[in-house]
Amino acid sequence: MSTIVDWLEGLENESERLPFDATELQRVAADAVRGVPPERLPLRLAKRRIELLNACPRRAVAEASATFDADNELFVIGRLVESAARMHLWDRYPLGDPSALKAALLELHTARGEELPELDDLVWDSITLRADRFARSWRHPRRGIDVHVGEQLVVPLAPDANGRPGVVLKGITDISIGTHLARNPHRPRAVLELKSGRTPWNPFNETSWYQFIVAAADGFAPHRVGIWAAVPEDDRPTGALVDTPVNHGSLATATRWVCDALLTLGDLAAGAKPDERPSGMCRSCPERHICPSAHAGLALAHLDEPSDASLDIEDFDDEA
Amino acid sequence: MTKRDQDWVAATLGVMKPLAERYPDGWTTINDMAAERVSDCPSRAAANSWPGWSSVLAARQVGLAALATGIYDARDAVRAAIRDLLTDGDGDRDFQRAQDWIASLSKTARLDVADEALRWLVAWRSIGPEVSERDLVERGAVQTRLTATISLRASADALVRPPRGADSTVYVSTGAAPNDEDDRGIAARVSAVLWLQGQSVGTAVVLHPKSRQSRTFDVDTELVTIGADHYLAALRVVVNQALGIEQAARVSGPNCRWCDLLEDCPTGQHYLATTPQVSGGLPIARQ
Repeated sequence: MSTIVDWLEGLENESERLPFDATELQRVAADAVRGVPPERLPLRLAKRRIELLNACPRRAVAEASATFDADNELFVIGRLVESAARMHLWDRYPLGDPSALKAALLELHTARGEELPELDDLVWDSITLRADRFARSWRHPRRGIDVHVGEQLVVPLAPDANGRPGVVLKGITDISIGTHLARNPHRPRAVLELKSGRTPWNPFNETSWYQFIVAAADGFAPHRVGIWAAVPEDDRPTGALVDTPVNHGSLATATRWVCDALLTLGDLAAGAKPDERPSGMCRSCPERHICPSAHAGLALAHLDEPSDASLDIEDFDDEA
Repeated sequence: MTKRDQDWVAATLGVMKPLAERYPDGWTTINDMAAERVSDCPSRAAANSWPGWSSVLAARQVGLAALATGIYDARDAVRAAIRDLLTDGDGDRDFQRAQDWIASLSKTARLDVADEALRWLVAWRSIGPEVSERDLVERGAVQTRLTATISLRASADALVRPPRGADSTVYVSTGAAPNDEDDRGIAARVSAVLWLQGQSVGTAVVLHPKSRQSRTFDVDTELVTIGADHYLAALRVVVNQALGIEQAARVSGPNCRWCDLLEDCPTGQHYLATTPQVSGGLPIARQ
């Protein structure tokens, strides 16, 4: 399986979706808010924060205060490739025409009142290469099954006596294929995450979040969760597609991953001192110059080099 | 027998109308946002400002129009809705602002609105009832006129009217996370406006498509009184401020961070300068 169109083959004929058992999640959410001052509620979790809380709580706290550089070139490239992909889904992508793509993307930014950072021609060529690969992998617009981008899913938990949630989990999918219908929940449902760079070194971290958030919001797991990556450094004309399993085991593991982060967040919100867990990620930590444990992480080989594959608009959601 | 209580309507209008008649500045609408905000910060409610057209607001109009097309394919429905919306010459002022805004965009730039409308449509369909075109609330809002120049307005998506003589059900969607107290306020305000307008609504359903949740409220005089009180409080601050009788009080709180008045509001500025900021549970260190 190498293209998105191959990956989606037969989705319409999928059988029932796996039901999600929310018992553990609800119990953990109730535990997490216990002892947290009301002014610090609700606790909010999204993908990036979960990764950070599970990797290094100190970094999670540091990033809550850090301002994100929206002009970061890798981030800009990622956003532009996603915008180009959206154009393709509306059948408006000018395949193989870099100048038309550049003009259309500039037009979108202008309409939003946003300025596009100056990018040189080589970068535009790279954006076109990545977006072309998506268009070739997706091929033609699909009919008879809904496709939409940026689906927002919210899971409120641990309500107080007035019904205000003490925990809010929020996810935004890159592309949702098929949709949930409360009246008929077993319709086809798949989620595709887009990466403008390499495939992630650990795709489970990416896809477990999406299978979890869809399952927790819908009450049923999606049939498929995949990652499409442009992999610009190699010569595959349709990029790379990584499929990940969705089954009872993967769903339970994903739930545990979220619950671990939620308990840590609850402790931190209640005033606990954040643990320091040095790793290769220390190199990009905003507190690497003041954290007493950073030297251990900085001494490690470049195992966890951050890449554009790890930058995602969802990660910088204000509410997260 | 329908639930709408004529005595309640007469008594409520008896309080609201004389107040509205004192408003000196001509035409205005008290929207549900002002009515919602008045308990948090009367000054913010008195500003009664329309937030301006954004892709999110315009997308809701497009999404409702897409629902009305009855087209199964959501993408085709949105395409048709944008086409219809741009040729509809019968809109009120707010609707025309949406039309003008979308019309001013190039076809490529309209993709943002189309994507947002598609999200709204798919999310609404995920938990909303099956509705026909006649059930949908035109322009996504209901309103009632208190005087020739003052109206009350509330968001609403659909008003499903059963056979003659029975109460209707109103559906209203929100992007916010479910919150019993806020949901009750939303249901109360839209029901109050509908009762005052002459519609007997017996059930109000607040939809939370993002979390697949909904809250259903029985509409009775107790509920509509809550909604009417919100509007009355907002109307009072709007009228009194316009007459120069009193400057609406400024009350600080978490919403100060996003308030349009912050630049000229020492109360809000002081609050933000002295209140620890939190991001989803984690403290934010001041830079």
